[in-house]
Formats: sequence, structure tokens, C-alpha cells
Amino acid sequence: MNKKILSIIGVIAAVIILGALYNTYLAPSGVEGEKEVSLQVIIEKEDIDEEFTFQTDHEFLGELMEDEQEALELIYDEHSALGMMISGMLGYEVDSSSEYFHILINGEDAEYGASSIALMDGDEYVLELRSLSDYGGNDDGETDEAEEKEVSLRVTLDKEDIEETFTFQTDFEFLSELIEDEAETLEVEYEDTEFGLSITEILGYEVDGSTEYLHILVNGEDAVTGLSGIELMDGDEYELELRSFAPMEDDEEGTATDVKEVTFIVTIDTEDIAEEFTFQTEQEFVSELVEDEAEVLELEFETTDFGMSITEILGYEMDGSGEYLHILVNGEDSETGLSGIEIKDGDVYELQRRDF
Amino acid sequence: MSSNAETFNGMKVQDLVLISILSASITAGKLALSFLPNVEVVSLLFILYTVTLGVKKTWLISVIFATTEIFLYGFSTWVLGYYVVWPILILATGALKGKVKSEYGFAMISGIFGLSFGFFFALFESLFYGIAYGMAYWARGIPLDILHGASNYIIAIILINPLLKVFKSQLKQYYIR
Repeated sequence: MNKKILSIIGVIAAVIILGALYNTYLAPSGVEGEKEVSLQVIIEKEDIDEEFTFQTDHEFLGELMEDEQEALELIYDEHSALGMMISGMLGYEVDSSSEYFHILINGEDAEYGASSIALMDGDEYVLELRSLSDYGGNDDGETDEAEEKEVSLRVTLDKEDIEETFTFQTDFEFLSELIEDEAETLEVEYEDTEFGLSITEILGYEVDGSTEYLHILVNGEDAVTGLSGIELMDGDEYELELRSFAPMEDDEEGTATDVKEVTFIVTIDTEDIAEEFTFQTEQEFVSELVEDEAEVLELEFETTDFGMSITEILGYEMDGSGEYLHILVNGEDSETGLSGIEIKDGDVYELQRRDF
Repeated sequence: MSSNAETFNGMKVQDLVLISILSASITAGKLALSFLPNVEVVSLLFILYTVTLGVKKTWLISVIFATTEIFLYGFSTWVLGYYVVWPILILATGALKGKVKSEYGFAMISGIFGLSFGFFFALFESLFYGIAYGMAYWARGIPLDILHGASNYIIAIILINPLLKVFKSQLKQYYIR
């Protein structure tokens, strides 16, 4: 029994000695006394690049940042094993699933977190928001660097006599991202809908979602997806053209309505659904017909600023982010949504599920 | 049905039940001491089970234990590390149990394992985040590793013999070989 107690005492003594050795040789140690250090915060995507100079007698960067929490607009968590985890600075909140604040000390990558970085007089610290996908030492910039592209964007608003062309250098992947980034230049107001970015105002002109829309052309051809689905390619020319949903024939308001017979084909390739319907209708637009026949078509829909948007058809629920219902009128791609297609006797309308 | 009926991979029903109960005992042991950083009975129990039941059954216990951790804490790299780190202890104990003659030997195994715990995890984390992260992770955790090693040694030297005695007698009474 004595031997056991002795060995336990020995282990405790070893812990004390090892702890002391760690503190002396391995633990990050600070320097006491007054120091002047600079701290630069770079958040490129928000155009933030601010430099602060602090006089401090703190020993570690984490302590200094805590002390200057207000000036730095710092949000952080105290993580038990890793020390200070910065979750926001200068009003910007980090999306921890995809980005982090990278720390550089005098231009070199820091090996520890802010709580373990010992402050030294004259040191320059940089906290730069980086994507987690850059993590892992790709400092030479040879890999994973987004490709820079030059693209042009023409905005045509006929009724306002506006036609402006912009040229952008960008490393964004999608047109929607570029437009979001250039919102100020393009005087754009937009909404994030479940079908992607939807522009409500451009170059000071407010789009009346019930009668008109911005038609998208890519290198002169109709785009098959919305802005969020258009991948930017170097040299591409994009056009946003204000168009009406329906011909403006206000004087026809009083005319008698005829009964029309139309065919409606719904194809959901992933579910092996292909059904054909024939409808007699007096309605003027396809959206109205579809609404009337909602029960037959097992239809669920939403009315957005841009007209009707189908969320479920023949029991199939649309995944708004990855797929859409492509509309064909008499075998040709429709230029408008359902709310803009005027019904003509004998027309064949097709709704095909397609991936963006 | 006989308790010796073969079920899966040549294992008996009583083995399946025993493995489940013992993995539960490890989870319970871990949770009971979770308020003390790096003081645990998990290492001790894995050593105890390896000495009495062998490497294969104890490895299965560790797999269930690691999987239970995912249910409790969610999926992350440290939980994945459990699938690797605990089998290292089980294999080491299995390899050395013939040579260890007293509680001091088991306490040493447990102590050295606790001391190296952060290092094993750092190696594992390096696979995901790079060597620099692994080194920083290990260096940052050295004080906790020292505490882990010492507490493992003390717990094992006090408890391993009484536990071995009780566990072996229970096995003799209820476990049909």
C-alpha cells in the first residue's frame, strides 16, 4: 500500500515538474510592459480595410482585443480548447461554416489563435477574413484561386429610353453574385426568392412585377435560367431587357371571350410522369386556366411579383433551388411565365421539369 | 433457445448482450466524470475489458462507444478520432497483457496513453487540417495531456485490481465460455 501511495506522490510530483517545464519552455509567453502594436482588419467582400494602433501593456493579442472590443466591434466565443474564436468584427458576422479570420503576424501566418499570440512591441497583426476552402497553406496562390473574368452587362429599358452597357472584371461564379456586388453601380434593388435573385429596381426604374419583367439574354440568346443559375464566363455579354408579360392592347377589354381548346402536357422526367390533358376554356392567360384546373393538375402555386410560380404539380413537389418547370408553347420555348402566355385555340402547352 | 446459439460472425447471444452493456458502462463512466477535464475511467475500463474479454470483443465495445458519442455530440473530427484512438489502447493492452504482472504495469499503460492522447488526436486532426494545425492543437493541449496521464495512472493503480477481481468473478458466475 505504501508503495502505491509513493508512486501516486511520484506522479503528482512529475505533473508539477512537467507543468513547470511546459510553462518555461513551451507555453506561449508574453512580454510585460508598454508596447505599441498595429492591428489591421481586412474584410475584402465588405470593402473593409481598417488599421488600428494600440498602446498596451497586455501580454497576449486576445487580451488586447477583448479590451478593445468596442473599437473593433468584436464578437467572440471563449472556446475551451482553442481559446478565443472570433465570430465577428467591425459589424461583420462570420459564417463559421465557410469562413474565418486568418491571423498574420508581421506578414506571416500565425501558428496559434489570438489568445496565445504574445504581443511584441512594434508587431503588426492582420486579421483577414478568408474562406475555409483556402485553409491548408495555399499561400502561394497557385491553386484554388478564383479565375478573373471580363464580362459586359447591357441594361435596356425601352420605355425609359435607357440603354447602358457596363463592363466588369470579376471573379464571381454567377451573374446574380456579380449583380449583388455591383448593386450600387447598377442602382439595383433585389429580393432573394426561393428561385434565386429577383430584381425589383434597376438604374432607378422600378419594375412592375405584375405586367413586366427583365428578360435575360446571354450572348444574344434567351437565358434558360434565372440570374442565380447563369454561370459567368470570360467575354460573355449579358443583357437585361425590360419586357411586358402580355401585349398591351387595352382597347380589347370589352371584346367577347371565345371558348378555346388547348392541350396541356406535364412531364416530370425524374418521376416518370408524362400526362396529357385537354381543356376547354374561356380564360385569357395560361396561368388563369391552370388555376381553374388546379385540382385536376394536383397543383400548388404561389403568386409572386413575376406572376404564378408552381410549387407542386401532379403530386410532385418542386425543389426551388435545383430545378424548374420549363414552359414550351407549341413546341417552342416560352419567353414569359405562365401569367404572360395568352391562350389561343389549339395551342399545346408543355411543362417540363428541368435542372437549372 | 440456448444461450450458446450462434448468431452473427460466430458470436453468441450472450456476447452481443455483454458488448452492449459494457459499451453502455463506458458511456456512463465518461458522462459521470465529464465535469472534470481529462479525468476519466474510459481508459481503465477498456484496459479491464481487454484483459478479461480479449481484443476483438473490446474493439467492438469501442466501436459502439464511439458511435454513441456521435449520437450524443454530433458528427465531428474528434468523434471520428475515437474510432482510431481507443483501438490503439486496446491493441497495446492486448499485446502487453501477458507481460504485465501487476497493477503498476496497467497503470503505466493507462498513464502513457493519457499522456499521448492529445498527440494521437493531433495526428488524426492533421489528416483533415494539415500538420501546422495538428502541431498547434497538440502544443496547446500539453497541460491537459499531463493531467490526463497522471489521473489515468492514479485511477488505474487504485481501481484496476479490485475491478479485475469483481469482473472476473462475475464472468465466472454468469458467462458461459
